[in-house]
Amino acid sequence: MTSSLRSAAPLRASDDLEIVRRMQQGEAEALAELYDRYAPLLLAVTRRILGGAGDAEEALQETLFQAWNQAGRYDPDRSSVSTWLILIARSRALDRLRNRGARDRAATAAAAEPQAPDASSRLDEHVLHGERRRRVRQAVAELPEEQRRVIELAFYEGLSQSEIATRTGAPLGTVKTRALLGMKKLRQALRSDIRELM
Amino acid sequence: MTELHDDPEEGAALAVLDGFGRLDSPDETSVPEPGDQVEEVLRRLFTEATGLLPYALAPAPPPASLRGRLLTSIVGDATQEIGHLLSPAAALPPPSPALAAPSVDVEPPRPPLELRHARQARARRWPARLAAAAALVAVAGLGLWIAFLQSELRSNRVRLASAEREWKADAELHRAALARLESSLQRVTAAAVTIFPLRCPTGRGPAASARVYVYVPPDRSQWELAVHGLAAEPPGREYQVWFLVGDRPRSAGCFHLEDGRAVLAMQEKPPPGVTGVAVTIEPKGGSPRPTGEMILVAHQPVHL
Repeated sequence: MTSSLRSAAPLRASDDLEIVRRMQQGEAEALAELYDRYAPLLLAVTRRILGGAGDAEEALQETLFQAWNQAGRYDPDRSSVSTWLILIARSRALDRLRNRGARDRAATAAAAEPQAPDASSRLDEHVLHGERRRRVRQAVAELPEEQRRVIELAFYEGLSQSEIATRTGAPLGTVKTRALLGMKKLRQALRSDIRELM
Repeated sequence: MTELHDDPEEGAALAVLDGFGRLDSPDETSVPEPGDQVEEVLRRLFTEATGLLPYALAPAPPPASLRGRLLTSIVGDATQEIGHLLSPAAALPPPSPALAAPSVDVEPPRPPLELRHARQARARRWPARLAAAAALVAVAGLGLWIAFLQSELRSNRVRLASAEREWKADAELHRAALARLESSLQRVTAAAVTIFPLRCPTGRGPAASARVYVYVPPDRSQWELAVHGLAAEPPGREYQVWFLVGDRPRSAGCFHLEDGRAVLAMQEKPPPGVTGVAVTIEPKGGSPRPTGEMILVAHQPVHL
């Protein structure tokens, strides 16, 4: 299980930037480092969107391909490397989800329910941002259910607020209010992590 | 998102969420461009907040083979281009068909027996002579090859020593730069830091596409200026930073740029009650009061 993780070094935003700079110079080893740092997180994103099928791994590969090909276009002023990668993974997975069509969506949604961590895994908590995961889980868990749902539908399913209103049966204004309150709470609760990323 | 919001935080939050619901283009992987400087910072905060959401998921370790497959497929592109160099045999022309002996219809007349014996004896000596000649050539070739390798070894040692010297000098420079950046990072990410996002009010001139941020820590001990995309100052002139207390500007020092970027830790302590920050172009050494127009201004701080 640990064979794909080569680094146990702390993950820092400045290190990520250096890795992307090396990727911009065509250093394949830098991509390997990025993979070691983020593949488990990115695969969690693509699996959350696509379910546990091989599609999720394909989307992960596409994500890292895109990161490799577009490293020169990465703008540190617009997002951290972590967020940049997560947004690419999300887009690639959502593209695949759309291509599957509505037929499979119900099955995907069922398969995409958050899975319990693999108890047998020997993954290094440090590598996987153990502390950050704990804080984010707590922040998400503390959101009222309806606010969490609106944010997750937007993020993991790419739904617009109107689509969320249709899906949940709530008025559009209510959806906006829930989204806004949820986003503000997340921002407040995660301010120390946001600072680290910026 | 085109709606106007009285609260820039609301506008930024909803814009980020709207961006997530609008993924028509396969390349759209980030939130839409903001139109306002404060909203830009707020959008960044909300983008990072939502970008943290997946950390709540259970990490999914990929299969061990995926890493190798991915790297091979990326490095493979380059390998294909040099593939013929990696396998010299593949670069050789296809083996030509064996030369067919010319068809001979009439057997030539045979020479006398003595002559045939003499020729056969000479023919028997040829392989030994050829082998000796080949050995001589091989020895000479080997000598040349050894001389070439020794020469290459010497020149590579010289190059290595030179590269090591350069590398050590570079490492020192990078270490110093890293220390400066880490110190900056500490200040910029300190709790309750105040950010002034400066933008060009006219959208014209040397600061038209500049993005400049002033970070002030809560104790106002040492503020920080981060500059991107600002044109180099005209000869004999300097950029000067001003703290605005109400409408009154107070000089905060001068800076100059390298390649349109600068990250500067300024020692001047900001005065109490700062409501904004501005940048003007002044004669070298700075001015006691602004003499030029404010090419960059921030009137509204953002509190992190």
